[in-house]
Amino acid sequence: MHEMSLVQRAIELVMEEMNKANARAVQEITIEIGECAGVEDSSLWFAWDVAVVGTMLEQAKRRVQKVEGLARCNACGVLYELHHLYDPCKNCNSFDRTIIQGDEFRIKSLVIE
Amino acid sequence: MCATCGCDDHDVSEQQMEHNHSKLSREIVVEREILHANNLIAERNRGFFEAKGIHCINLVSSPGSGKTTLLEKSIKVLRDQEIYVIEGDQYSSHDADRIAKTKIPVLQINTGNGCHLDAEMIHKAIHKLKPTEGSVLIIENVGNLVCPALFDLGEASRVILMSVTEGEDKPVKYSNMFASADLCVFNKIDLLPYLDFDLNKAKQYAHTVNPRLSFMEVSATKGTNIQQWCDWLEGHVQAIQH
Repeated sequence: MHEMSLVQRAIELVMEEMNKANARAVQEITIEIGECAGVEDSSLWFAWDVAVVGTMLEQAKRRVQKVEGLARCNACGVLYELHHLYDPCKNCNSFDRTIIQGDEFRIKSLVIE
Repeated sequence: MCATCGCDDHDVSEQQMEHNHSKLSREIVVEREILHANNLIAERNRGFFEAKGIHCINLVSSPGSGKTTLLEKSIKVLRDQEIYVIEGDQYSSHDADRIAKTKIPVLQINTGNGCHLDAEMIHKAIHKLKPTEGSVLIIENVGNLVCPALFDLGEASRVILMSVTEGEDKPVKYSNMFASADLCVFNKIDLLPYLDFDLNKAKQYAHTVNPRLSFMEVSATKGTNIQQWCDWLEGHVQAIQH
């Protein structure tokens, strides 16, 4: 389950930010997850609950901002919604695309004290 | 909406929400990719490989697709090409022991509870292995089509080995992995006459997630098209060096 490894990396990143900001606790964390990022929400939070025990994130409220997938078709140039990586262009049915958004997996912000 | 941080929780009243934040709390904007640290080390590895003219391959597949057998066969064909292998498995050194019998330098990484290799493991491994200029470094990742997809190791090429005993729709079921690959090698093609596997259908599925994916068909145990695969490996070393 790579979500455990992802959570551990998220914790490391938060600790770095906390040190920079000289913070002593995290009240909230906002994570952005793209629709096509390959990160499963339920597995992520299952791992999260185990991994944050004893860290400054244990009491933190978590918020998720989902980012819808959006691609530009490389054949006809049309922008279209990409819910799965195998979705064709709605205009010309081509699978050749550039992902514009939806592959994000990042920490957006923290509320610290 | 909370006036302190702008959060919007419908289960909590505005008044309660205000109370959840102490007066000392503040919001900081982070905007950092969670895999940023891994990606930085991967780029460092990639820079090292490029400077040394090393063709590094990240070989991924489901368990049992024949990665180690393909490597054993390739090493026998590529006698004049220097090859190094990093083996990734959850436990045991069985694969590294098999590669070691071919007399080439090999290093086993056991991931324990981890389900993939990451860039730092590879960074440490190349310090130990010390691959030479113009060599091929093959990383046999942990047999898993989900987790290794997100972890860039610094490879020049990501190769998926898919055996024809698997389902044709594997590319769409594991689309993140197929979307990030450069080459898909179908293995065990000697078994095609005994199976219902439709090779063209599998390729069509793969092209829906990655239209730029190239294909090759081999049988590692019978040696079919192994020369073609080895030519591809050597061709990339030459391309990197020029």
